[in-house]
Amino acid sequence: MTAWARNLRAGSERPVWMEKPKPGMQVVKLAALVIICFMALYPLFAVLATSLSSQTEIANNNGLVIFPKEPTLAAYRTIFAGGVVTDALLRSLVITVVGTALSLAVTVCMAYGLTRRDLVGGRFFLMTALFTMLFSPGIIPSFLMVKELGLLNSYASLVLPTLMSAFNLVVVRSFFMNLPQELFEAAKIDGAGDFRILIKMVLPLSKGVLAVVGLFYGVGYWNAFFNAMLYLNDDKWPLSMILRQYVLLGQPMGDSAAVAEIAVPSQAIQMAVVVVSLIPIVIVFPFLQRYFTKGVLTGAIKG
Amino acid sequence: MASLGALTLFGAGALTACGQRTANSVSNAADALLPKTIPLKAQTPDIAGTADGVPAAFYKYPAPFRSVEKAPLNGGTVTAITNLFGTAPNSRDKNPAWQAIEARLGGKVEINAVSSDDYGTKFNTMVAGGDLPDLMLNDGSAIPNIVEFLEAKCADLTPLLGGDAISAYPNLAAIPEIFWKNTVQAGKIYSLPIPRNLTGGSGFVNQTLLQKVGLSSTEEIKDKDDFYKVLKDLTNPSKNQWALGSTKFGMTMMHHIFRTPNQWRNSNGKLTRHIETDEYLAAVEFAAKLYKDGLYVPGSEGWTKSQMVNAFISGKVAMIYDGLPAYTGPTGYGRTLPAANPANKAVPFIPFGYDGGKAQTWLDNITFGTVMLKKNDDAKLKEVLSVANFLAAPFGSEEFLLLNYGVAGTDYTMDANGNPIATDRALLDTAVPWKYLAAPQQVVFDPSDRSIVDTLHSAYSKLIPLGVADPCETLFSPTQATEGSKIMQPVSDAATAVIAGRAQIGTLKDAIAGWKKNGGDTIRAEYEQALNA
Amino acid sequence: MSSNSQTLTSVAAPDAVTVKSPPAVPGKRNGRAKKNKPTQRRHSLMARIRRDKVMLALVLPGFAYFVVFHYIPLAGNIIAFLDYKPYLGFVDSVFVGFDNFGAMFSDSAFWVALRNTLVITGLQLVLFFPVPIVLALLLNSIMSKRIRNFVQSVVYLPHFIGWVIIVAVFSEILGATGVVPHVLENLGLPRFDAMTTPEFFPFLVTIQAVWKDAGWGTIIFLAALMNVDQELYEAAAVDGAGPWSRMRNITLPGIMPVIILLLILNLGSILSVGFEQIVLQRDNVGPGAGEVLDTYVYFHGIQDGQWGPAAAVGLVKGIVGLILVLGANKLAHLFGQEGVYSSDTTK
Repeated sequence: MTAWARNLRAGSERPVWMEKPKPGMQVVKLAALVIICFMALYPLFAVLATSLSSQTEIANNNGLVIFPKEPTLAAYRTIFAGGVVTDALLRSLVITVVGTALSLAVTVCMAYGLTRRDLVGGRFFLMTALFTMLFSPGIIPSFLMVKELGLLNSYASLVLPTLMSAFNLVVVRSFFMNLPQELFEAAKIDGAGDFRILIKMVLPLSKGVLAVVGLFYGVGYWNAFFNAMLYLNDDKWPLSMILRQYVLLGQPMGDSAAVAEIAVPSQAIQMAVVVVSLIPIVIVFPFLQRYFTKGVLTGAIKG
Repeated sequence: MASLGALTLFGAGALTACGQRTANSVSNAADALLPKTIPLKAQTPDIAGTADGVPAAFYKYPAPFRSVEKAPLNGGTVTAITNLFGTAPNSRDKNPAWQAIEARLGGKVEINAVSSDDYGTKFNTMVAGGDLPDLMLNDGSAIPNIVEFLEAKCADLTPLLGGDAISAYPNLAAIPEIFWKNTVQAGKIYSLPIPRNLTGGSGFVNQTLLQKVGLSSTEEIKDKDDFYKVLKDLTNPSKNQWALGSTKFGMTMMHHIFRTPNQWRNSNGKLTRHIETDEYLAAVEFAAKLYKDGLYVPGSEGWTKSQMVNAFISGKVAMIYDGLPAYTGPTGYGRTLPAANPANKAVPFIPFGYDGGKAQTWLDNITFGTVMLKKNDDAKLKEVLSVANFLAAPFGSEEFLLLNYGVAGTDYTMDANGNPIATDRALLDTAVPWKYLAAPQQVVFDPSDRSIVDTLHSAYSKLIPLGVADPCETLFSPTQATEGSKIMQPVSDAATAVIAGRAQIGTLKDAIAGWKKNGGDTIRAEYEQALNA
Repeated sequence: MSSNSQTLTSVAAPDAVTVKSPPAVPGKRNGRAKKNKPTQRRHSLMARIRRDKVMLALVLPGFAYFVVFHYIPLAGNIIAFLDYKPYLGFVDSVFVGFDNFGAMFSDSAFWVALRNTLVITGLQLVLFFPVPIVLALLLNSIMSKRIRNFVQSVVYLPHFIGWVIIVAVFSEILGATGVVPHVLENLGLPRFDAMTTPEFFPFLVTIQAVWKDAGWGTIIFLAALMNVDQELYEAAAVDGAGPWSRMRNITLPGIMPVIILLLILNLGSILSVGFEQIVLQRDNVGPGAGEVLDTYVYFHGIQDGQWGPAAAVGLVKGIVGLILVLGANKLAHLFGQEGVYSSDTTK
């Protein structure tokens, strides 16, 4: 066995009771993983490489470069010049953090409230939430509501209209309902109130679901552009709108002469914006990852 | 479910109060009082423009002259909504160009810049919300029932601009009559034009590759069979080279060769839709043959614009269709092809007749769009028009330099020949969409290379005389507005299928018959009524 | 165009559910004023509100959000019954009853779009849905922490790459001038144009979806797997159960509630396949195979500014989704699963 493979083996944490893996199985698994990783990384690599290439090289390579011959940071310089992208990035960060925190809070509260099976109006509240997953209001009515509330062209219009997703609500509720109820019964008998149980007992046991749902909300806010398009002027655009503007310019639908108005930005620039919007996610994800993967919370539920 | 609940929210009584069907009237532009054209004493162009609309050409930027003396605003604000093509600009407080322009204007301009894809949604949402800005772009598709909208919400500009009244706005007066025709609906001037160079052209061809097969220009091609031979010579898949490859097959080029009408053909008051003509079918059949014989890059009809541009720049494809405006400028084909490969040169495609006669191009790019003004009192309208007058400052003026290139020193520096050279921050500072609120007539200009200017100007002078206008461009048909795209979609889908070899020509003929039945005949009747009114 | 796609951007699957059976249900319950079974003490409505006041307070902010931003604007769906023009507004636009629906149902293009939508979602249910589960199980079975962490931090990334790029990548590989046809040609095999063959389109769309989103989908299942009680595995191993047996009897049942929940919730959006991915490739295969409901609405409604018909399609989608969700939930109960919500007939 090579040192490299031995190194990998060293990180193994096979429990005592588990059988030794068959070498054939190992090879198959490894092959599958290699293919999967390749499939995941190939487009990313292409995006990164293209963002570092010149337009000429891109054109000669049909639009996707893998190995840039003369890497250049020109694209990044262009988009960061003048600060539009930087400002948008910061705006997106703040909106994402604040939005995720608010969404999580509201979702957790409502989900917990709905865990009591005989809650007054419980079934009604749950149904009203579920219903919203199937029927959404149209663009114009939503716009009118936001306008009535005086939220047009304000950052609140990026957070409040999509504050809670019924999908995530159901998920969190389901998780809460499957925590060991005996713990909570015991605490009740000792005199603890509902809210206290939520804060002191339920939440600490729910790190996994909070991390996952938090990630979903976070990604949702980070990528959301529709509300920004509808409610904000372009001087308040988050990064997702800036990115979308670049990408849309490269794919007009139609062949009219008006289409020629568009000076298609270098694809390097389009790719560079994609990379820039990916970086925060790539940074944050590993931190969250340990909350919903094996090895951290095994046994935490018990006792 | 939800809908029933909604009805009760409104109360049964409200439904009976819902509006009466408003008259969706047909209308004609012909009898409006158009503004007089008062040419500006501008700098002399290197090649003069002509009366039938061939643009002037400049090899270098002329010495700037001032075209607007008095500031249009007096501390007031003008609001606007228009398209954003290109990146989002630097916001006002970080944008010296924006601040300089507002300083010259004497007030503020609040622009709601909307991505062109979203314009319909955002515009209509804004209208539903009830707050209209002073200036609104009509991109041609956002408002189906345009006459109703104009009459309800927009100002009739005829008293302020018609005839001699336009002399109060010299820059607007310099715009020739052909552009003002597009601003008329229901007999009144309702908007300002954003002029373009009349024709979008017939596409581009890689001249170097053409020379390799023995031609110096596409004008030397005799007829469609000769064309076929040339295309075949240009196709060599093993060398990664094809003759053709454009979004939607670049059919405009073919239609010019086969003399398909521009949307409608008018024969003494009788209208025929282009899809109903033999020329249209002939063009489609020809393209289908080309596709079948492998002269198009397979799958290229679904290319995004980026992909098409890449293919052309790298020399993979010899001929594409793209609008002529895409030729000049730093990202224009005139410069990008030689940049990728110094031996390559792009020139506009000059079409020939399929039968050896002349080709027929389309005057399909007269205006980019028009800009409407919200109903207001006369004083406010005059103020808005003064701002528009500033924005329509002609090429060669100080104001044009400011609007398109930014602030001297910060956004550009003048080189030895007096041409502005953009700095790094220019792109974001000048991205504010002033030119989509009001604009002068366009010129051909590229300081980097005289031959680019000559080539493009020569192309315009050949293409424009061959051009035909759309006889229904300034008419209004209610059915076309509310159903037009819907009933045309199956026809264009069928044409795509036929050319790609997925269907026979019979399918297209059926689709065309379907168009006629589902509204086409009604539209024709409405247009004829407007035409002969 | 539909804000459907926006509200579901935080899509993916729900979270962990332990292997333990759900807590005992205290008999039939009914939300409102009815009293409980005689086995419970009788409570009056006021008493129950007092007892539940904290819980209700926790529920109310969320409920208020739904009312303000969903239910009140939902009334705007009345557009489906109007010949709606934005500058006339709701009250002045002409009421047309079911005309918009009639026009839609009598349009053959609508049925083609509906058929394509169902074919694609059906195929995705069969081919796409299991993939994140399998992937999660595979990852879960990797013993080396380093390999596992590496793969986990990589596999979700394609989710964030826009469709334009994914389609371009596919073009590179499967497109007519791409790598795969080249290889096939060199091997002397018949040419296959994956991206322009109408019959293959649903498969193409599904493969692309797998490439882009399967990794992202594993997150939930990984979290669910984590909560399967490890002691059960140990006990089973001691009893002599092999790895496959353990998977069949412990792992799968352990994450089954999550799978069912996700399945039901996905059924609710069965008529939404996605706009951007399809519209980029619709012209390559033609509307016969490439038109789905969302693109139909765009090309046959929104382009002409027809807000009414677009709203009508939205309502139809919602109703179909509702029926499917209710039906699937009932079905889940029959199989002993809790589903999305438990009904009165639960165990």
